[in-house]
Amino acid sequence: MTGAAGRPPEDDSIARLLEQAGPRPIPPEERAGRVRETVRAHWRTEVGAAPRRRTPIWAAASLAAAAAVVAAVTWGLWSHGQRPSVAEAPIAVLLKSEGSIRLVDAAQVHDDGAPPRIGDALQAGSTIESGADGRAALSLADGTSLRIDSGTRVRLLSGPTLDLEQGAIYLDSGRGQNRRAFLEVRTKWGVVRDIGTQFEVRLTDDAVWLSVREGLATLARSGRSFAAPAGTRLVAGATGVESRALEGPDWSWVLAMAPSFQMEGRTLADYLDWLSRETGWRVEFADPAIARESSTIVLHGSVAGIRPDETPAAVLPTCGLQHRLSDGTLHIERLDGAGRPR
Amino acid sequence: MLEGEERAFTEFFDGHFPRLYRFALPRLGRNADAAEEVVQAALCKAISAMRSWRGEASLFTWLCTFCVHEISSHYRQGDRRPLTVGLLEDGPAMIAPDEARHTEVSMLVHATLDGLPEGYGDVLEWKYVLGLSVDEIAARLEVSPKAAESLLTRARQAFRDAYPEGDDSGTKGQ
Repeated sequence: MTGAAGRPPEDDSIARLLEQAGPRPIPPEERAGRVRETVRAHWRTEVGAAPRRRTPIWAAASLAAAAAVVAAVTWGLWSHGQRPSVAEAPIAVLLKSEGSIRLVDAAQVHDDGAPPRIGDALQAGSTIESGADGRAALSLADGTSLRIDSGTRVRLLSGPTLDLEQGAIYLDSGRGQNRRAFLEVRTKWGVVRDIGTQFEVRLTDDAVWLSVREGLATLARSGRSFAAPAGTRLVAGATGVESRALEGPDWSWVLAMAPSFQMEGRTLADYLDWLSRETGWRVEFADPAIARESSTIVLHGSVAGIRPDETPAAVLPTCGLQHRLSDGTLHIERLDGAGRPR
Repeated sequence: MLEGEERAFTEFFDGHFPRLYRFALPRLGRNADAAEEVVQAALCKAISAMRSWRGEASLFTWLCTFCVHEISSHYRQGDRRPLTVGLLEDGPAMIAPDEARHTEVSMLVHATLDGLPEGYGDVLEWKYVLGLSVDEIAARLEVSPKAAESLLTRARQAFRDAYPEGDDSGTKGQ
């Protein structure tokens, strides 16, 4: 015997119970932050572990190197001024901005009319507004990359939850992560959740567009969940939800706002992984030996200020390599005269 | 974690603080300040005693014993009188009769989910509260759909076993 949706009756009972109960409440961010800091200090005392580096409390959980670097910058800024209390633990840090950007922090430390600075930290409840010429990139506490297009207003409710009121945002929650909390974007047309992915959420006059570049995202509304795999766009408005193929998506604004790769001391493999994720290119090596060597080649210098898709010309020659791009694939081979495939 | 690994601490804290907070809050009359104080003290004391944990009970169950002790201390210290709210895991009969049924069931379900082995509560919540498909859960956990389905099956069974007998929900089967 089966119940609704072909499930055994006892499974239906579990489904009903859990649906009725709703999600388990999450302790407020500020309380978690206070307790975490105190317990961590106690733990360090107990195990005799010296902190490796003084960073904002969320930096340790971040998997993004960029976020870690900026966290250190942020800490440096704070340490020259007034150190925030643990209750004011940031949930996002500004990595990059251009044009008109306004940060309205929950603690009102950024609401003084002054332009935002790289490294500015935002707390839960903060709002970011971009003007017609404004764009921004931030790193969330869990390492997720958040990019804000022009004409956008978005509120950071808590670590993994955003409220998009107008405009468009792009999120890259990274791969290889196994986070406990879903990233959630609330809009008036439904709630978008990521499953470890790269996607854009754009509000138009009469709908929300969920465009998925990589991975999988879902849009929930009216008790139903709609899946959007890579290469598709869900359009949800007053008349319903429809899925479309993502034809000729324009990710140029996303590329333009990509935080720089922190190159110094990183390997070529790290760089190519970042490049592939930012551009969507596949990477192919003319010589399998290059692939093997890529994890041992250490890079130096900086590509700050260069768009990701323009960095190969600056980086690869320093490794004795050259590239060509065709049909979304980056072909990498040894430089002429620097050793053909052996 | 006892070797000072920051990542291990983060996993420990992220995996247990929310569950302990939810465990403490209803037992403290939903006093959030008291719950924060109690859970913090419980975690600190548990860390001090971590070397004595032998794994006979699940780590969460073991941590709950510290929490219960701290809750008792909380009431003793201020000569405060505990509210007549029963411990949810003791069964529905212990729940204050003036609690709304919906709240009662929600708290009981949440407490049951929190008490399940690591990860089981999450997958059940993803499946039945957030409405994710097995494929989506598999992608989330970076496992095969078959492994995700198997995990869900075990999680459902664990939920059925843990949800208090006597409740009228029928989770024990027909």
